Amino acid sequence: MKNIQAISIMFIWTAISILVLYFFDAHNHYRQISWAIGIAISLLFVHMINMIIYFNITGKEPYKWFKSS
Amino acid sequence: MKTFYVNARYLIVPVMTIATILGLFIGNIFVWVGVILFGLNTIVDTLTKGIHLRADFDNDGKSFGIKKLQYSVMYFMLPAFITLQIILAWRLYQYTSYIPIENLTFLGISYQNGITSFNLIGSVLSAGLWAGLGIIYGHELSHNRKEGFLVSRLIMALSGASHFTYAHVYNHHLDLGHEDDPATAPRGRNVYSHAWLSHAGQSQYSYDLERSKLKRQKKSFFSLSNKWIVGYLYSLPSIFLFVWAGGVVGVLALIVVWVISNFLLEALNFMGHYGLIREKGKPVEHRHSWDNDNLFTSWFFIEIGRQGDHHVRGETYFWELDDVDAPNYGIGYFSLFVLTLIPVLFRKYTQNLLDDWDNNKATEVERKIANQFNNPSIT
Repeated sequence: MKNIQAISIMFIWTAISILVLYFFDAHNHYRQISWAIGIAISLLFVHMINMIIYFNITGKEPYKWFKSS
Repeated sequence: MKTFYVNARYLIVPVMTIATILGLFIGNIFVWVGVILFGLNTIVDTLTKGIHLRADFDNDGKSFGIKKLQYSVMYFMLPAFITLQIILAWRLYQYTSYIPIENLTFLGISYQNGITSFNLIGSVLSAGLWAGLGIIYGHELSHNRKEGFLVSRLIMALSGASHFTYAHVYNHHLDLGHEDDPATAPRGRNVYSHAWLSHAGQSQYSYDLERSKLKRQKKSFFSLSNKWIVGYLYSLPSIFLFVWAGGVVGVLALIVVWVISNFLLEALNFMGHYGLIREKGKPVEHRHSWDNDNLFTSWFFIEIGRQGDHHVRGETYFWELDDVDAPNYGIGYFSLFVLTLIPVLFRKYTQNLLDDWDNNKATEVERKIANQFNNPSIT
């Protein structure tokens, strides 16, 4: 359950981030070095936040072998 | 002669990686070389499943392995994998720039400039597969306490998995065979869910480790002392390269490369310990790992398949690892990997082996835990 919740929020966060990049017209400026650096940092940030969302929502639950443990 | 044979047999991956890079450079149908080699390796691995060799030592018990040579090769793999990414980025640049397809020559080598959509798919798959197979060097160097550890971090960062280096040594090796180790797959789990859970779990281990360390040191989490953050920053040049070279297509290509390479890494973890159990607090023994040590797997994967010995003697050089009568799948990694892709087949293949482990190798407590897996409430 927590897995689905976490992945849903990760999906929403990623979608919003991509929309923001789209509205900034990032897909048309990626060949400019400064834009490419900015986009790369943004994407890495999105990825790291996704991981933190997953860690914080699921905790240790996904790794438990038994429901009672 | 024996020294040459022992050292040269571990050069399969470097040679094939160079062939894949050359294939991507030459272009046209040759970009598929990496995929074809992967397929051929699976056939060779299956054909040689019955050949098992021991480690080679001279009469005085000394290994024939040349440490300087083997480490040079492992360090060489970092620029080799960087070159693989640069060549793929070059192809992405050509594709997204609509460079016309024509035959040109560079330093006497004729190559095809420009690339079709079909061959771009081949380029991405070839790069992803060989970036993933190259992770074996990231693994081996993670056990080095000197500069090799940093090289390991950098190799893993090319696949967005720099956290692996810490988690592998301080989590996987210490908590093996227990649910505290996300890289150990419990019975019933399939390789697909394991790939994500193991990846995320190892990153979480590194995240938690750094968070508590920095709290203890009264430093901010957002600091360059945070090795979890620094690990991801090591991946920034790759992301920049693919963004600049291919925009949206480049990012999609990088995602595919990362997914394939991490999937292969986690498939190795999956195969290495699937279903084996260790009581918490008890020492790691040979029976807590599966060996895959047929001839081709041993040479190709630089003896990573000798998991039984590796987990008991973690800092032993790979060329000195030996058969220690650990549980053995009887087939190599390539053959077993194909089985893992079809979970029903994999479970059927491992059932008898696990039954044998439960009856002949497990302790009473381990057997009790194994019996709990018959309970449907298992995750």
